[in-house]
Amino acid sequence: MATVVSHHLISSIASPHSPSNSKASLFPKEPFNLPIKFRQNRFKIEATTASQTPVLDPLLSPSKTTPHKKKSNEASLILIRHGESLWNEKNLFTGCVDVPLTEKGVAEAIQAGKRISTIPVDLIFTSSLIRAQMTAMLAMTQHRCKKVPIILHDENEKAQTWSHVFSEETRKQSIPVVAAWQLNERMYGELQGLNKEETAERYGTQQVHEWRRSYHIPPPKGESLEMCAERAVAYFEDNIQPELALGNNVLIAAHGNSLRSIIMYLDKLTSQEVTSLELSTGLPLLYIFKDRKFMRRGSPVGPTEAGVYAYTKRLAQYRQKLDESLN
Amino acid sequence: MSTAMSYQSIYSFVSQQSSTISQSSRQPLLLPTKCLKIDSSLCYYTSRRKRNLSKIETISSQISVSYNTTLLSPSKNIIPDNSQKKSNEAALILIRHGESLWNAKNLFTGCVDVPLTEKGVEEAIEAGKISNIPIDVIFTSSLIRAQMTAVLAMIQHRRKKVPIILHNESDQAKSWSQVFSEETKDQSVPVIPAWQLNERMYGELQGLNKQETAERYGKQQVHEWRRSYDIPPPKGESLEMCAERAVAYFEENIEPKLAAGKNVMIAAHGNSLRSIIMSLDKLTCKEVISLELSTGIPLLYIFKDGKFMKRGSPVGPTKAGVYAYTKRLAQYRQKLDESSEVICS
Repeated sequence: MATVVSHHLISSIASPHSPSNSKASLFPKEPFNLPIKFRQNRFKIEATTASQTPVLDPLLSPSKTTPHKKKSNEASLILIRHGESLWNEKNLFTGCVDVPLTEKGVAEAIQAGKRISTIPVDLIFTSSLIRAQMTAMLAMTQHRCKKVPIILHDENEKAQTWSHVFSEETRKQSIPVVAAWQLNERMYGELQGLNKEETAERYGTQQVHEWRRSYHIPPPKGESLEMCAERAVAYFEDNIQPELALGNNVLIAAHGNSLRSIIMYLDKLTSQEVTSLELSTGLPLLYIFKDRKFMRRGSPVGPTEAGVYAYTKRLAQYRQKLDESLN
Repeated sequence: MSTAMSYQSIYSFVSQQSSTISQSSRQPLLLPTKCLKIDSSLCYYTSRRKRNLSKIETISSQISVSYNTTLLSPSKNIIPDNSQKKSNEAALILIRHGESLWNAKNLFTGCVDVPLTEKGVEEAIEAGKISNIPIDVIFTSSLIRAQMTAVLAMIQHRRKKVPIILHNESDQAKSWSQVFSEETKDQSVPVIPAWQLNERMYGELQGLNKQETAERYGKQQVHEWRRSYDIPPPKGESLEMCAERAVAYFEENIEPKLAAGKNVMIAAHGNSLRSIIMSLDKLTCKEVISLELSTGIPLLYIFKDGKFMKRGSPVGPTKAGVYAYTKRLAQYRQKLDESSEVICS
């Protein structure tokens, strides 16, 4: 039983069509660097079986795909910026202080969930801050697939062992949620907790404006947008893009600056373009990853909204399946 | 006053750290200075004034000496006289989280980190009826359903203080989550996640439904695991084991806060809360097995003179009812009613 435990995770990471699959049971470092600790640990335990078992994708699509085939050469990527937090409301610089959502932020998250309720999600990435995690959890309560998001714990061995799931069927109905500090909001250093007035008094209006609007000037003991982008995009490339390449549909719930950084990478923006990019809160943004390219598809309309939204054929089929199987 | 307050917070923070590291012991520990230096930011949450690192270091050398005194006589007034705002009474609120997605599917959850359903979210918001009771610090488990319950409940709180989850998983996490405004800190309620408050770990039953489990192990065996005090499911915890780590955590980290007059809220799980209640109410093993804690309904205790007095469940602000607040709580409520700009208690 236990041998099959992380099977689906293994299969989702190392499909036979992945170029690096020659060393079947080990995570290759190149070209897809997949050094997520928790996966490596689980994988260590299961290594002996992985090379012998066929690749199955029980988790990954509503209808069973043929074994040994990569699921799809297309994957959806949804980006959601969390809604109003208690410090947004008070107009305080938040950064990496772990402040939760307001009632409005909760409502925004649920609303966002309604908009993505028919777009497949296989894997969720969030930051380590609760406002992003709550946004993801609340949004998924609206999802029609009715799968259960489960936050993975890899902070130490005990946390890993204690959070183990022992039913194959239950795992198939689960969506792993990976929490990563690299997707955190830009760290605002000594401005964290200050309001705009206080800050202008302490440092001067012009200086503050510079920190907020420039690309590479960090506030004292903080990160510049450039530094934030560096760790966010690196994480995306190392951990998220490989999943998309395998056909896994991904949802990222994160923050203004970490998401801008990723969008900068997806859309190949310049540093000037990214500083003027504003991402609406609670409005999901959809990208299609196909043939190693990211195609921006805008924001999906909610189910009760009138609108013409050009789903890809694959997404239209997914939605149809959901409609047909009314469970 | 301020020295003693930071003493309390250092002690409770570091013992928390140490218990994580050493996974044991209620023995007094010599506190490495390194720990304290990193910890200085945390002290801000329980004190009004800026701390000097040197002050903290002086205190640290005294801590190992005075450790036992504090533990053994929580009711003694260890705080010097100029702390008028301190009280010899503190409120303790326990909230069990509401429905999770696996509760709804009737699966054994244990320590799998499963979130709340819509209903569970509503239960948490409803639990915010504690809005008339002061809260200075919040403890939760490391699982999101308890953390969400805590922060959703606090949205309703009339004090309008902002819960902030403390991060100490690494040096970077600590320094990145630092707050740099005194005023903002005063308006914050620290939230401390602790795995020791997690639900009972259900071992190989985690993820199974009742039917699957009965088929796999036999009905009688399953009944025994669920209803006994000291028989653990395979690779899991018995209620006794859960109680051991939960109550130890409570005694080392939470009770000192109460003793210092801090009002505490604990948002956790059925078994970890039962364990704590067993300790507060001095229940027997038999009594605790049959104790069922309602979900989403806060339970109030008053801690006074080293004793815990059960006060039942506070009524919501719109509900008619006779609820015997203590004088202190009644005064607090009155203050809230009188002023829209709340005075710090």
